[in-house]
Amino acid sequence: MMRYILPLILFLVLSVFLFKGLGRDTREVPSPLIGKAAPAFSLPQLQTPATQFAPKDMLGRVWLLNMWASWCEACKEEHPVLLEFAAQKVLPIVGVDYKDKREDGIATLQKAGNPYDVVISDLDGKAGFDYGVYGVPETYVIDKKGFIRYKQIGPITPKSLRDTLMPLITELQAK
Amino acid sequence: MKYENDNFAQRFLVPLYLREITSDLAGVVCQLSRVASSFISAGVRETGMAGIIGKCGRIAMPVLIGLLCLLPNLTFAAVAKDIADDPVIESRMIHLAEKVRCLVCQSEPVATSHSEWSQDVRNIMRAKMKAGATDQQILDMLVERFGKSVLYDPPVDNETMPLWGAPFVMLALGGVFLFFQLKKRRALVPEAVLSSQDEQRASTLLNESVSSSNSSKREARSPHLNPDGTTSHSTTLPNDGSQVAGYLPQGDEANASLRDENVKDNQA
Repeated sequence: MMRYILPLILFLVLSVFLFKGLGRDTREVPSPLIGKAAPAFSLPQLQTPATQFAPKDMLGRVWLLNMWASWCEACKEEHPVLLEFAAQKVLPIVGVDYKDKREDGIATLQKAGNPYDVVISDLDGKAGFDYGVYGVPETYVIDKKGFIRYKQIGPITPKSLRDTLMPLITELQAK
Repeated sequence: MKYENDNFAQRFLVPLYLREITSDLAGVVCQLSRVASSFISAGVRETGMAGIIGKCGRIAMPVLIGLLCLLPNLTFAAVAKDIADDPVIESRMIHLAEKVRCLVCQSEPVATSHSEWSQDVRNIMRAKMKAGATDQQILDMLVERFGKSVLYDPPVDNETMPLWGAPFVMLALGGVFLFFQLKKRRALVPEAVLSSQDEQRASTLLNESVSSSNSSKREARSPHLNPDGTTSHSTTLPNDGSQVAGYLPQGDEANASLRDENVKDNQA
């Protein structure tokens, strides 16, 4: 009897592994930056290039850092979700216009609406590189002490907002 | 060679506007030569002024053809922007970039990838190398930002231990399985107990096989030495080959395999 059951068990175990593998997105590389201090940078704001922004300006607050660009298709999908979320005024959202022409970035926000409290311009993508960005949109949840707590690769969806981001944000804000 | 390909591709990709200009130029030169040649032939045919115009044509054509030949040079005129000035750094960079995975394209190294992200990584590598960073420092910097999966050869540590250890664990498990399987099999095959009669028969058969070399091979093979080694009849049919051969037409290969099948059926 064992000689029939054992292969069956092996088969089932293998199937579970393969099935799990099917559902995994290999593009989603776990960020090694989670739990680490958000990399420092100082970049000009998109609309007012004379003013600089640095992550340390946000110390003491839980905030979102959202990397986007006017050329990014998935960002267009994310944009209405962000707009709706921003309207709830849960936390400051900082947008980084990643490797984009300044005028294109401004035009996009004028047309589609601006969900960001601050928008900065990362023309050459140096800051994005430090944050381990390899495909926009990417969103970071940064806590009061300036540590990265979570990284979302790909667009924020109502589901990811409700199930992942919101519980984490409430938890971090309570600290 | 990858370095050159990269270089080549970038040269072609960057000055797209130049290519357009050259194709326009080529068009103009084509038109000119067409006009010139029709002018020449018309001149020769109708006015008979073959002397002057023909000479002009004979000079103009080679000049035009020569110009056409020069055209491809224009496409190479622009120097691609993100190639390091220093070929040593460039080749070192490409060498290092072979070890780094392009996170956008996943199964391509940064060295050959045309994604924008890979170009950025190459540029950063060049800049760091110029600033005097070692290869290891650059790899560390990448791992710090993008995780170990950017490396094609992940380092051996606690996290990647299952990955590196799995083959050895599998091998050990296989070995244990094989060991017990062989042990079990040995227990399943009983020692052949021969009666004196059998022994006598066996020795006569063996002697026979020594004398007649070829035909007796099959007979000498006693069933408990069969590779399929099942138990059912280790001693009952010591010369099943010859027995079966008795009622089957002997001879070619097909028959031999038929016999073998028959023996297997008997055993099952």
